[in-house]
Amino acid sequence: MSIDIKNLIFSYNRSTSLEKHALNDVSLSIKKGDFVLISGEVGSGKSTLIKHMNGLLKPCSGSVEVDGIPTHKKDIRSKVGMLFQFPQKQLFGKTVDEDISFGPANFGIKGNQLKKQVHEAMDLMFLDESIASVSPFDLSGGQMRLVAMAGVLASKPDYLILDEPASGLDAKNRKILFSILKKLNSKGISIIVVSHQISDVLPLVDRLFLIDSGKIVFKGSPDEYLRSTNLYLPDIPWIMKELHDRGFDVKFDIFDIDEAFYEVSSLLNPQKVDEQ
Amino acid sequence: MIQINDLSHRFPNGNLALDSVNLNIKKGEFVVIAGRNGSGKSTLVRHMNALLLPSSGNVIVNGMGSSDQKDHWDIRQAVSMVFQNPDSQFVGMTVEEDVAFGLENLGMASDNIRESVDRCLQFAGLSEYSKTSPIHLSGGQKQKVAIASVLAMYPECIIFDEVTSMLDHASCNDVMDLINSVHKAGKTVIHVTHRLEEATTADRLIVMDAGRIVLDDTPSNIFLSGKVSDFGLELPPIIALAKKFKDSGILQGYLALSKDELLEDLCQLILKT
Repeated sequence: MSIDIKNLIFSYNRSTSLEKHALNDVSLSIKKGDFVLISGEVGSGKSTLIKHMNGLLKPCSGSVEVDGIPTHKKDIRSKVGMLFQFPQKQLFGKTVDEDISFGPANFGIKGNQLKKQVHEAMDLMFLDESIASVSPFDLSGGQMRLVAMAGVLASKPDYLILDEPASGLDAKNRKILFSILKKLNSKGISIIVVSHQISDVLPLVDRLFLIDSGKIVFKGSPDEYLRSTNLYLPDIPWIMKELHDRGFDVKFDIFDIDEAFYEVSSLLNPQKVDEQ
Repeated sequence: MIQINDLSHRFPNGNLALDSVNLNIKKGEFVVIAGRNGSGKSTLVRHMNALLLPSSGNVIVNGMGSSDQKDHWDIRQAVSMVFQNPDSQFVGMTVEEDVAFGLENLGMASDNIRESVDRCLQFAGLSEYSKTSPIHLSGGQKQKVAIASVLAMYPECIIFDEVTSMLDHASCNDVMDLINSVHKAGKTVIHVTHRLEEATTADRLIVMDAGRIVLDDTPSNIFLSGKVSDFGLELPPIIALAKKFKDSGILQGYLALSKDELLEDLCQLILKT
């Protein structure tokens, strides 16, 4: 059970003067249950890549298969849920219930089973049953995001792709979002997060893919990433790694401010920190 | 340069977006205005070039009050604005046409236009893209074109309204470098953002909340006060870490505002012990 991409090449506006190469010989595999981060600068091809994973785009050459089924077959869409940036823009239903039911209803789910799936999805998103009959457009921005996510989850996807899910969220709501993703992942759903920001998500993931100008330039675990030279690092691990590289005895797989503080303080004054 | 007295702004739906704001911005200052969504920061800066007019109170730019419509042209000539989404402000087929647009409308002679455009494109580091269509540029380059177009009009003051919020890390640094050079070239710069790391090079940081100015001091003093989180803002990780070392007495002296400064401070400290 996995998403397998082999030698994927894709260009926009193919065979016209505006042809733009977006993906160049990309191969990767994401197993069911994985939590992965796909990162790269704006315009590097990340969104183009994930749109291949649920058949929104078809390869110019190479292959994309979900659980062994090529993505041009329609039924993979129920396996791979996709949440775009600003998911609140995906809402359209008259009521929250109607909006969340739309996906599974289209996949042929009816009656009590449909109700059950909608209920479960709302539950996962901490959405209260009382808002089911409310118009989604009367909700706050944060709640609208949760409803949009519930709408994707109601189809019970095996793989959930989120494009820049944290953009525009403040620190508190980012933490809530990531704890939701962790919970979903612990239920066996693969989580694929696309983000140009690495520091927030990296501590949560099993693997990281870095993409630059349509090519995968790094794949590996967060630890392998931190050990690699010449890749961009978030500020806190950057400081720790610089200290480590200058021969000081500190751990460098640190993202957290408090942990970094503790690590450096104990180097400066081992006894004092131990007493505390 | 810009003086705001007891300014309130009520939107037609009854929302009070600005509540008795008093503010004085001096010529040549680099001011960052920060605040969570809906705090009133964009509304405030739109009063500074008469895009919005006061419900009560007044706004005076170079001695001209924004309530007098005949001065609006002069106010907007003195204070220009660059917006969040560069795509919404392009008019030209090529980058140089876009930058020339405002000058052509002023009726400037073509030789002078050519010279101004070339100078502004060079300043923004865009000379090689002069014949490119703006739509084929990256987000950061587009914002730089928008900035060059504004510079061509030779304003005294430029307001940057969330110009970095749609950009990735690298482009964001690029655009911030350009904003810093605009300030060094002697312009008054007002930069609206919710990313506090962009305030580190500013002379002054103003934090807004619920339509009021709640903090107004140097960036270092505000960061050290620990108050930004009360208003829905977050210290950049590096500054939060530097502050922790300073609060605990481990680091002394100035608060490090960049990762290189903090690294140097820590290395020196470790080597001393």
